Amino acid sequence: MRTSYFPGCSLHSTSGEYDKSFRAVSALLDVDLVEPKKWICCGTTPAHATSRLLGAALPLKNLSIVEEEGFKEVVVPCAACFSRFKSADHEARHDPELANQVEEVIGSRYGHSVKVMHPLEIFGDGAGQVPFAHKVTRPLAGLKVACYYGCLLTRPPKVMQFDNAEYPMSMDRLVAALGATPIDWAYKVECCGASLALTISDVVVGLVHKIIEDARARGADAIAVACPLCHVNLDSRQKDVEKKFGTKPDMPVLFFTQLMGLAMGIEPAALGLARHLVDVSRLIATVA
Amino acid sequence: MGLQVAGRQASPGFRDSVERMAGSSPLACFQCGKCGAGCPLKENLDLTPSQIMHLVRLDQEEAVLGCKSIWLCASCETCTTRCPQDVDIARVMDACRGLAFHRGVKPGVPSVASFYKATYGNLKKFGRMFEAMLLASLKMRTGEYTKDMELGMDMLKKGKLSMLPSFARVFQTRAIFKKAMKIERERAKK
Repeated sequence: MRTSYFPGCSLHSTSGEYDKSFRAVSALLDVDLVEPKKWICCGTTPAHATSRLLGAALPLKNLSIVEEEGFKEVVVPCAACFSRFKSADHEARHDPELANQVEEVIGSRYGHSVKVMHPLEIFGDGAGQVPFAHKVTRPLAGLKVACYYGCLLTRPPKVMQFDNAEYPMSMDRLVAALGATPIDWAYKVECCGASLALTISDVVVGLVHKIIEDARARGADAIAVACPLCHVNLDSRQKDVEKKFGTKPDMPVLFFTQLMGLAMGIEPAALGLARHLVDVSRLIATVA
Repeated sequence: MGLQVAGRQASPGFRDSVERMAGSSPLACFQCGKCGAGCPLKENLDLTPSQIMHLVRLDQEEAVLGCKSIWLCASCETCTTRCPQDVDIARVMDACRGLAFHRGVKPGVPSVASFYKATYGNLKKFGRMFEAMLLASLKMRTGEYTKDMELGMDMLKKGKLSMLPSFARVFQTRAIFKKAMKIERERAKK
């Protein structure tokens, strides 16, 4: 399979390990990833927060590039980019005035011919569009994983059309296909506070505390995520949680693509596992 | 946390402006409060989402554009997802923030507005996010120079903060910003 791949800014920097592990897994499964030529930022929260037009124009500029390159689909692992792409596509389809203004702003008309996909959709439960079950050589037996979807993969459902908005199971099924045990828990679609971490971080520390505590109370060994912002908040705010709440979270947070890589026998170094702030070596030792 | 509309003058046309910016309307809201109940920021809000929907209906511009809640909204979309009346509450929050921003109203949570401005500056320079520069420029704007210093050092050590920007379509990105924001400023006018 050959597909367009939009990494977005985070996968080229703070969450480089998401890019690295997604590429490693894709290579093993013969998925050829092609980045759109000179893609630009999707605009993320600051764009849509003050301008619906800017919030639509930046993703549609990128989708136009993908369309010009002749691809019928684009895989977008960052949940925030994924959400912005799908929202912009949806809004421009349903609001002709907005579509006209976007055309004026980006200088071309997007034809809506590209399907925006998340890696969780192409991999599915191991037997999907890109089957992976046959490559699982080191099943993650005994590992209890809390699958954390956060906000933007599923919400709003009218736009995202991704799994169930209140209790999604797609990542749980993927993790189960890797041999691990997904746990039942209450915080899988709760918000981590996202970019508020940069401004009113205290609020984010409180939200991260609640999420990790629930995962821990239900016996999770690790949290799996599919979003760079979820990852950076859950992984990097544990010291602050310790200071504020007196708990010792020590909860490894991994991208689901890293778990896939481990189960497929890819070396931890090739999955960027040493880049996390919360040490994952004990977890790697358990599954190795 | 009262509604505080009594005695305040309504600003006719405010609701129309919000609807224009949002591409959506809060009129169908029947005040069930489900949005506020599920809001992850609820403990920090000065007005609940349903109060904001009602104030918009009553053209209470000053109360809405001056509040903290519109800046605290994390765009998690829980309210929009759960609204039984199909009000796109998250878009209405965006619209109110946009109106406050483009009309030059003092933001209820200044650091969030600073973050947006720092991001715009960053994207217009590089076409992509250059996080190290974004953090520096945010510190310059907020004056919180020592905030998250330890975390920043930890991230540097782990190689999570790139020290080199990556450039892409800078002139095109700048033009997109310029044109879109010009149209948005016009739309935000009373």
